[in-house]
Amino acid sequence: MSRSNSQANLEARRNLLKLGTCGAMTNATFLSTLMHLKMTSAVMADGPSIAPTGGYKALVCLFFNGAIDSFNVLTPFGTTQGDARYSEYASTRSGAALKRSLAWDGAWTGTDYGYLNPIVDSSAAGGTGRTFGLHPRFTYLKEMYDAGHATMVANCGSLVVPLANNNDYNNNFKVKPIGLFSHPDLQKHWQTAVPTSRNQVKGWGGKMMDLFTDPALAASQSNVYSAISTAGQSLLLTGNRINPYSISNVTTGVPNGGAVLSAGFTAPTDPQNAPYGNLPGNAYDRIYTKVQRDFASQTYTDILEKTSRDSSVGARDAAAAFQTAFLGTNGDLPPAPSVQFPTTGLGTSLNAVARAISIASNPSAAAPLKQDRQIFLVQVGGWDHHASVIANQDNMIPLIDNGLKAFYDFLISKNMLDKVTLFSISDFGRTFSFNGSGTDHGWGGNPIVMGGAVNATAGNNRIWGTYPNIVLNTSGTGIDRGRGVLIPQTSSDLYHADICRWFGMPANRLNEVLPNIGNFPYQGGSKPIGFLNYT
Amino acid sequence: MSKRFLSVARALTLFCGVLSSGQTLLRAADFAVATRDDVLVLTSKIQATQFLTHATFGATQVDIDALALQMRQQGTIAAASAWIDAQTALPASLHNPLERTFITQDYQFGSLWDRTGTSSANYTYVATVNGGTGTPGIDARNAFNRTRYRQHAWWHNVLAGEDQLRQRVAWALAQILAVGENAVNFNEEEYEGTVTNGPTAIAGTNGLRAHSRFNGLTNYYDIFVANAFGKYRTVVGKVTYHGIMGDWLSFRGNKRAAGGVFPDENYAREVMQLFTIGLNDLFDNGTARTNAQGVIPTYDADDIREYAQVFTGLGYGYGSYAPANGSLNPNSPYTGGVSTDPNGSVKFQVPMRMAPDKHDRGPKYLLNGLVLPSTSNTTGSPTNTDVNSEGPTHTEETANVEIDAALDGLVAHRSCPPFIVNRLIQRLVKSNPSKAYMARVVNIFKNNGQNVRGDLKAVVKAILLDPEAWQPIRVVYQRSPARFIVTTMGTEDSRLQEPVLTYTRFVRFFKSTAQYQKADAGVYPAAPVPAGNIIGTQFRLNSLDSTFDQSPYTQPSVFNFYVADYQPAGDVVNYVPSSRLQESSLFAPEFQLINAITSNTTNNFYRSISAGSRTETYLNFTGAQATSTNYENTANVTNVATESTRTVITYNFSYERSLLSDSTGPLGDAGSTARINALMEHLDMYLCGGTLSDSPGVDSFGNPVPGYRTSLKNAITAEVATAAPGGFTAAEINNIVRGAVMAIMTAPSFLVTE
Repeated sequence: MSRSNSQANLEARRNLLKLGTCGAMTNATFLSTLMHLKMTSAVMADGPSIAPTGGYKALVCLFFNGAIDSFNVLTPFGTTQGDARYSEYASTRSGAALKRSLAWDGAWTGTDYGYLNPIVDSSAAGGTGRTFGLHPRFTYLKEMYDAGHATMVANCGSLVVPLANNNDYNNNFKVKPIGLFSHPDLQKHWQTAVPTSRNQVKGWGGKMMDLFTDPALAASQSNVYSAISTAGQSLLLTGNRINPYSISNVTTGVPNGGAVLSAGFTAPTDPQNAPYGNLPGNAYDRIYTKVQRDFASQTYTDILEKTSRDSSVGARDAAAAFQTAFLGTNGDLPPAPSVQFPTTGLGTSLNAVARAISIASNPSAAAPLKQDRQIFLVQVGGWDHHASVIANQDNMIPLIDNGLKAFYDFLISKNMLDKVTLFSISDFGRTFSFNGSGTDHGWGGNPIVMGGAVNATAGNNRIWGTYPNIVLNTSGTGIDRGRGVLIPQTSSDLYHADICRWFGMPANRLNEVLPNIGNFPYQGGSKPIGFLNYT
Repeated sequence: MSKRFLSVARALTLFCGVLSSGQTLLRAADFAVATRDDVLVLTSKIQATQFLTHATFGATQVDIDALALQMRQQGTIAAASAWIDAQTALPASLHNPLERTFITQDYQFGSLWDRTGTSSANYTYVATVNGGTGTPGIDARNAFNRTRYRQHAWWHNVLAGEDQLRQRVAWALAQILAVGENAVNFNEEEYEGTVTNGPTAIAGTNGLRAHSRFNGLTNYYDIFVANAFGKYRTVVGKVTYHGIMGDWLSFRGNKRAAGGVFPDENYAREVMQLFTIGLNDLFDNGTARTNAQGVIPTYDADDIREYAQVFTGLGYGYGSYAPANGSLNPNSPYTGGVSTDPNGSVKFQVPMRMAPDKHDRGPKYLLNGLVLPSTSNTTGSPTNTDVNSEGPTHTEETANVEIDAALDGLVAHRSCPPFIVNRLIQRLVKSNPSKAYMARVVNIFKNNGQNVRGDLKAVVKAILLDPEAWQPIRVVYQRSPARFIVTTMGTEDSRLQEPVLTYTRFVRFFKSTAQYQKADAGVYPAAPVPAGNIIGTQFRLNSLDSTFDQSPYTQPSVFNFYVADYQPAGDVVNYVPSSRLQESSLFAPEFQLINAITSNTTNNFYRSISAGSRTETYLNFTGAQATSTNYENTANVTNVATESTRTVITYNFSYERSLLSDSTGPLGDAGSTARINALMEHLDMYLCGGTLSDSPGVDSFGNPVPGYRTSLKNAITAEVATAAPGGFTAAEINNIVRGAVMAIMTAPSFLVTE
């Protein structure tokens, strides 16, 4: 199928989808074009496609790789008993505790790590009325919270079934996630939403995009732009058909790593009929191009060789297509965002995301880069702060805060704050207790959500979930597994479910991407948690 | 039967093992043969190529032909075994001394490491090239310049070292006990005393310390080089006591629990999860033991807390410990006595030492019922009464005994042999070793025959000589017409080659040479470069991380570049393995590095370097640092100089050219078909072990498409057919060879080894 053919099919299929005649017909057409078994099984496994409504929407997952100590991102601040007291936090965390205020604590000795930013969990917004502390270097995040455009979900983590306390944990009939406290296991769980397995190869984001994209275009270009990672391979964004496209965080030019044979390779039209002598370049490029043209159609019985070939050809064609679409018909780069992004890892990653969003959401954008739904992954690693957690977070959080601020300003400048939701994930929370320099592996943590869809108004915002009691309780009725490893009281499935619902997933189909969602009672009435606005 | 035919019989027996069900042989290439001798020669070359691909960073044609000759004379396994023995007898090419030699060389050329002034606010630099002063010199303060020396040492040793097997095993171990350079303090240089110009500055008494912190990583890596054929327990012990690991996994300065502050659990967890026993209790064949709840975890969170208590009290190991006033500050050296060490800073050059007063005094309940009694227990045997008691301070010796006992217990754990063997096989031979292969090697790990557990020399030998390392490639001799057909077993016996290994194989096969040159006032002399501007024939390459997402010391975390059970999306996920494999899934770790960016940057890289050479220039910085003390950031360094040194690496395609252009006539004449065939067989045999795929297909227009080997041959033939009368120029022939080389470097049959 030539690209123009597939483009026509895309449009045709889109129209069919919008008319609600997807289902069997789509599958039948698709089956006839199947190239390999994987897709057969994939299409059989997928539910019917979902037609996006309400215009463009994008999710940006910010992955704090290594387990950010989020109990220093969101801390107790109160002064009265039972009010998430700061004094209890300070004594439990000891050397890992941040200072509340100059008046309360006096000055830091040595380096000044700043003072907590108080934020109000407003009872008028349905919160507890308590005050919490945001990390001292999250000054912009505090502004976003106060503006009603950012929030956090307290003590959220991977669970298979609700575990109310240690008694539940010790009940062998209640299944626990596999490999608790191990980085690679919990990283997988957050991305797959199947925490009982180590062998999951698909993420909930990719599975969801399987439903939101046209299955007929699985093997060609459409999914190149629907799931984009700035962090290489991404489990979260891998679905049955959706395979995340990697872009680089370059701030100029096309962020695609360069098409193979940038000087000589031209996308194949009719490989066998192309007159060989007319190929461009030198002998080496002619030979290589000829070999490349046959490459995609050869048979590879060795699965690893075939995967190697598929990766190579896929990257080659996707880069060429991405470049064509990215540059637009006139060969122009999309205008750089008017907002100045920092040149940090997160800043450049979000810059690349911002440019991709600019194109995809533009109603007049050149197809197929134009998308109705996109999901992105950006990653910042290095949070495994067993050592020097105070100093390390003091260095690293400003990079996050500044990156988020630039992205926030960009979305406002494009009038797209309501169209994009950024949410964080991380391996796990960290211990509430101190190890003499940092904190160790925990369980529940406090993820961040940012965007215009946050269910709040300016000056009237709240924290979601249940902020844990800081007086650690390792008894059967407590949630401390020891050393301040806290059993999450809000499942990451509920957290993801609100995000999926906002994105357009029907409530009765959440289990297709979050298979355990049925195990968790909703906390927000008809909504899983309720931190995002959707109907 | 002549001796020669005996060896052929041996070779064929080796190839003709019983196929398990579900395995099909895939026909790869076939070669024309004229005589029985041809069969022997081709068979042995394929075996030698296959073996050396497992055991080295790449083999030259000379290496392969030499080993193939030995295989014909002695028998395949005997020759391979003798090769291993000869390799293990070679002296180790260590990385830390080489790194410092390179620094010294640069220093002596006046291009680096030369400064006046002692405070970071007062850096000024003068050059001493040829004794001159006053010319702007070069500043090595930039982290880029410091990290490159460990890269230089690694690339030079793996590309030029004779001890190929040792280097290859060291690289495998370095990916099991993985550290990365992106950590606080790993890239710092250190100066001492009043800095003066001149060679004395490098000696450590004045100026740059002989062992700066940034030299620590090569010292750590040398644990693997020195002990590649030693005992695994030795490796784990040296790693545990190394300051690099102490900082990397944050247990240096770990103190016994006190006042609500608990020992750091980082090392306790990873030494089990990654360095010894893994997550699941395993059978010797690598499969997981199960109970009613499923797989059985080897440890839980409580176990980690117990082990965390063991790894308390270690600090940097220099200075002398005075129990009367000794204390352990996690951010300070052992006793704070830097100046007592004549060799300069040795934070990472000597093992960490125990501050016994910081070591946990209570009992420790470890795996497999191992209990380390409280110091209050004078009987030496644990009782229930000392559960929470704490006795007197440990001595340095008794505290170290606890660490030793804990590590002994982990290496003695029944899951350690299969866990480590699986990883070693993945690095050396294949991604999915069978249960039978695992069990055979695990037996050797458990006991090398002389009651030694974890003898890496014996384990490596068992891995490389096991039938499963050979059987995936088979040959069939067919008469009339006489053909020599190569077949492969495919999926379950293959492995995607690591990107760095792909490159080292390229460099070594094409008999590359490398020259490290210096510029005069920013200008490099034209070739021939005068001797005075050549620092050495050295493979001083820098990190290739930005091309491959892989280079030495660039592991993003202790979880290495990829995890052992990674599955790329697509066919691998849906593949149902035969029952001979350990698991019901197929794994392909190296694919974790392959994505839309790296795939293209890698292919573009080979297109670029197949031009015949690559030059790496080292931009160094000079001048006063006016704007900031944050000299890690080049933006803060003023007066950026032109580069001062460069490595020019030249790849040699002369033999390949000679195959196309011999004395029988110009390329393009009637003899060309035979010459093209010769080139194809040469590249197929020596780079792909005769496995270059040739399975045709059908394109989306319904047209038949030839397989890779035929496709490449057709492309070359078509190019040769455009010959003008009189044939091609040397440059044109080189371009044809270059096209063939580019195609081979992209070929799945080269990238995936069997």
